Amino acid sequence: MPADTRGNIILELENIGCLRRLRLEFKPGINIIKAPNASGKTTIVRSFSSMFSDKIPPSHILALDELKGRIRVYYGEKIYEKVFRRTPSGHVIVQGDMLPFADPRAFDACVALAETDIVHRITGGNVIFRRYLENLSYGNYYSALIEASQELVNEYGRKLASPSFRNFEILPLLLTELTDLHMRRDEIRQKIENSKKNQEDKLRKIKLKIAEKNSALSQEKVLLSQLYRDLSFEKEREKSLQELLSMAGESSKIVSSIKISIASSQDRQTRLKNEIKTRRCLLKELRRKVEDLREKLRREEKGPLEIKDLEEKLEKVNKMIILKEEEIQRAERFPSDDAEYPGKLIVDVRSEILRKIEWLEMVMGYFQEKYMRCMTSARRRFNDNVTRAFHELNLGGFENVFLDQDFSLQVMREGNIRQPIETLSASEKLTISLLLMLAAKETFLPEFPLFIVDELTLSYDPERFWRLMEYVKRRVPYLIVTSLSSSLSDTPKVIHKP
Amino acid sequence: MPSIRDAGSSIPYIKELEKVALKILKENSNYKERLKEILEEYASRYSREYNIRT
Repeated sequence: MPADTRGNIILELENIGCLRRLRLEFKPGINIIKAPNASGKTTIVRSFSSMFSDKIPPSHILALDELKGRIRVYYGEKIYEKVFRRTPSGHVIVQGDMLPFADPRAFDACVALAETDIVHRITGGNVIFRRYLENLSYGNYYSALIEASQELVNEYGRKLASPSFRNFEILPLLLTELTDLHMRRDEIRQKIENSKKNQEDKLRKIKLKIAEKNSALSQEKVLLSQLYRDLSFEKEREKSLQELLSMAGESSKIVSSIKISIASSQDRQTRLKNEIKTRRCLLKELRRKVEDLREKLRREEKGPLEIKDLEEKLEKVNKMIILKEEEIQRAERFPSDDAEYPGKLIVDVRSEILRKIEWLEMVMGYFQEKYMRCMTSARRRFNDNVTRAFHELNLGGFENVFLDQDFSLQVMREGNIRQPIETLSASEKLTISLLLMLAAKETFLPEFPLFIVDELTLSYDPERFWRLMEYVKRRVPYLIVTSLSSSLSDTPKVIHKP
Repeated sequence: MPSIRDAGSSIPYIKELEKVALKILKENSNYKERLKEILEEYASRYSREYNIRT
């Protein structure tokens, strides 16, 4: 392995945590920060971490009683500085640069503090590492995209379930009802037309009958008048015959002939009178019939009741059609004062939303597959690195440690016996935490030059601790470890082990 | 089963979206509202251009 030619890293702190001023120098290899309790070891780790990760809030870094603090790092012949300022409202704001290898994921993979995610999980007995791997492998980007797409789909779904769209869904029913109403109207109109036609036929027939009867009446009048003239003539003739008879004297032949003529005339008069009588009755009958027909005509001309009923029904149906058309218009179009879609056709907006959902579902499918591939690959590589670490370190008692398909941590004892994480000892939990972090660093941050361990080593025996540290040192250029010292000096010191 | 590349090529603007969205997420992984805005913009574009495509 070629010698590491990296330079030293200098960390300068001013008014940070409990430290007023401090300058520490880290060299490639193992750097042990030694100090007694409450002398600022964790402050050093946190402040240094804030130069490559934004996971630690600025308010946790600046000294509580100071308005301004500073972190300065000399790395690769450059200076990187962050200045912390307390505002009058008490907030702490920060300005400055991050180190060139800064990566927000590094805090979870390369800094073993009590509050570090993985240490917190293991000591708390939480065995699900999906979110942890998501963050490290950027699978969280895909899950964020899926989540955002799903939220949009849900929002669109809620829109489609709103009253405007629900009304639109009954549109086919409304249109069917409108069609029925139109059919009903056509039917009534047809009935009215038929009734009117029948009525016209009826009136024409009555008028025709009246004309016929009037014609017959006229003929009868002419005939009657002829009969009266004939009767008058016969009366005149009889009178003349009677006068002639009185002048005829004794001549029996003439008298007899005149008497025969008189009798004949009287007979004819009788027949004529009978005829006149009959004709007068007939005339009277005809007049009555004409009068009846006229009366009937007057009645019919007023129109039958059926048409009036039908016209009332038609009016009602017309009103219903207008109301239905208004209802359809409301179901078809957003109101003009609608905040989002004023006056737009609901069918257009609905299609637009459905197409958006269609696209978002395609997008979700695409990112879901990417997420699965990303996470499967991340888990496989992570497990490979964990397995290698365990085998290389040859830590007694463990067969293997790995994440199963559900990203649940499985700890296998020798003999392939699964051990629940909560039953592990404190040192075993710490060992596993450190190895998982190291595997995460090797898998996801292979170029990151630091690995920091803060006082998590109290429960280790020196032999195991140094075996672990040597293993880490082979993989990380700068290993920084804090350690409790019994020295009387409060100032943290760095002891370097190449 | 079609590969993700095939699936991706059939989804309009997916590569463009992926590039823009990942840039946003790298800047701020909690920028969900901005992400939703971007997704909505592309979904609207898809909807607008749907008739032209078909």
